[in-house]
Amino acid sequence: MKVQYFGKPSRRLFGVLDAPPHGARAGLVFCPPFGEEMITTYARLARWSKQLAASGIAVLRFHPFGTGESGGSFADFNVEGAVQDTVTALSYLRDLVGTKPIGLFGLRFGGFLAAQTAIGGRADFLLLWSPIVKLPQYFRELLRIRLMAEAVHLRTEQVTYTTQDMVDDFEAGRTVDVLGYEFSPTLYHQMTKGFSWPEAPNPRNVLLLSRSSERFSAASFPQEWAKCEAFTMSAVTDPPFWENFSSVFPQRFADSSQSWFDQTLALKR
Amino acid sequence: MTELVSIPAEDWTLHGIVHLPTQSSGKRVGVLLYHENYNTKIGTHRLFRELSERLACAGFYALRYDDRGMCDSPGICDLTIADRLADARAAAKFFRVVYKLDVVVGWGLCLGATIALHTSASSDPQEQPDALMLCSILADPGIVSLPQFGYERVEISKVAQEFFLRGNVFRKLLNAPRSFRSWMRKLGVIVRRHSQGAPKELARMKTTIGRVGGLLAAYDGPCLMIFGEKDSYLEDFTERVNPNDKLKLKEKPNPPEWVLIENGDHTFSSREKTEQLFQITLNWLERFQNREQGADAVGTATGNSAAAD
Repeated sequence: MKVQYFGKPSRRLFGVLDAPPHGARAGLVFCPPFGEEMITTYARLARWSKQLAASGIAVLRFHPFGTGESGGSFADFNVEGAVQDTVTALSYLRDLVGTKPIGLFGLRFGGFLAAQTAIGGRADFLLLWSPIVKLPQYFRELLRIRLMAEAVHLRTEQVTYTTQDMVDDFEAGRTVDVLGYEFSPTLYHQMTKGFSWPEAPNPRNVLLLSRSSERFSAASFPQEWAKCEAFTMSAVTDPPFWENFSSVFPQRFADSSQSWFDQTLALKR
Repeated sequence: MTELVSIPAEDWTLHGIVHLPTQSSGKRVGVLLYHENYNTKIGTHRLFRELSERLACAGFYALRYDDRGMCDSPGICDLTIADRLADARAAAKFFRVVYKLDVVVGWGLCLGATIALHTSASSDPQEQPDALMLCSILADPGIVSLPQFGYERVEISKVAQEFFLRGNVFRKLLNAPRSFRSWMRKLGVIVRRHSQGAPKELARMKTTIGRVGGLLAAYDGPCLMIFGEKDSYLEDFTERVNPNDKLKLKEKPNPPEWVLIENGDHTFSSREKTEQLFQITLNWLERFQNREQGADAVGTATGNSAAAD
């Protein structure tokens, strides 16, 4: 295990490399979920990363600029910057694993980030766990979380700031505090208008795992995805583990992913 | 400026980050941050990271670390409460010795506050913090039965109820041969969690948390307790752990100081509340540091006059 900073000095990124003890059969960059979900899942994804390393996959976990241990404040975080950081992480890992296949893994917002970064053939395979496909809808939900928290903690008459007020603040160029995270107007614009799910899967090898209650189907994606034979969707019965701090490990997500690595990608041990 | 550090703890190594002070003050004061439950050293809404930076700007050293086999620390560990306590003691000793600190202050949030308080009872003085800052302390043992602590006991009757009363039982039985392996795996997990580790660890966890009241009553160093006004843990503390000052904290020669953050929640999760928490922390540390330096000056003066006599 190697813990270090990498990237440009002006955009210092924090990363943890979980390297296999006897050489890597593949490489995988973990794209973290957004905001508090990054924190709630941190220990469990780190655990899975270590397990993957033991099975021969070199994993780089990194923190996009403005998050975690990387430089900047959360107000510096935006989608475009996070995609750039993922590209930086990918090329850093590529240098380490050489010609071995290299992929991107993402949970929730990290899934969106992985799919975006993969455009242009930067990765050989893509593993997505319950990805956020509709970014504007997700962003609205994030704003509502603040209102819900305030409704729980404050008296009704004290909750006067609505999602529309937040949108107005963004439009006026002001940052908005969402449960301790400072969302910038740039983030708002990119989340609501700037980025959409890629039209076609690239790379072709994609595994999408989700909870059955999320009701993902081919219709959830642009047509090119449904036509792609190497795009596999599967439902698992793990709980939505990203919603709270817990020791409960997403075993079925992990097992299904490991089988896919072994069988479909033929990343034999 | 930060340094990535490796902290030895029994047979494990903990990954930590030390924030170095950007300005020097008289004494070398370090603040050791203890995070809550299954969290990272980053902290919820980046609280620990930001607090460390603020502490460094104010002239303090700050250390954050991940428990053994968790997050960025190497290896995989099914962390127990005993592991957490051992890691906390190891981190305190490492911080004091390696950074040649005159004073170590333990700053903990939720379970981290409980851990910080426990280190004050360590038999090794190098592991004991010289002062404590306890935020939203987890003092009611009943809380750890909640699912987020991951120790919930699986009840076989509940599982059977779930199987037989939800969905189409006939179809489940019909499909049973095909899903045999999956069911065997599930059954294994259920039996293991019902019969072994988790319940025992839950009992140990409850016992450790149950000692908080006694430890607080026995602790005679400087201590600041911070709660958010809307945090249910405040009610747990004032109504279950210390109703009507049962612990006689107010009667102590050096009673803990109290700060209540208006409308604050358990993790102070808004920029405004976070900023208040930082200010309270920095102000208290400054006063504590001044007192320490004042005491040193008095000690030195007394020593000098004694020598002159």
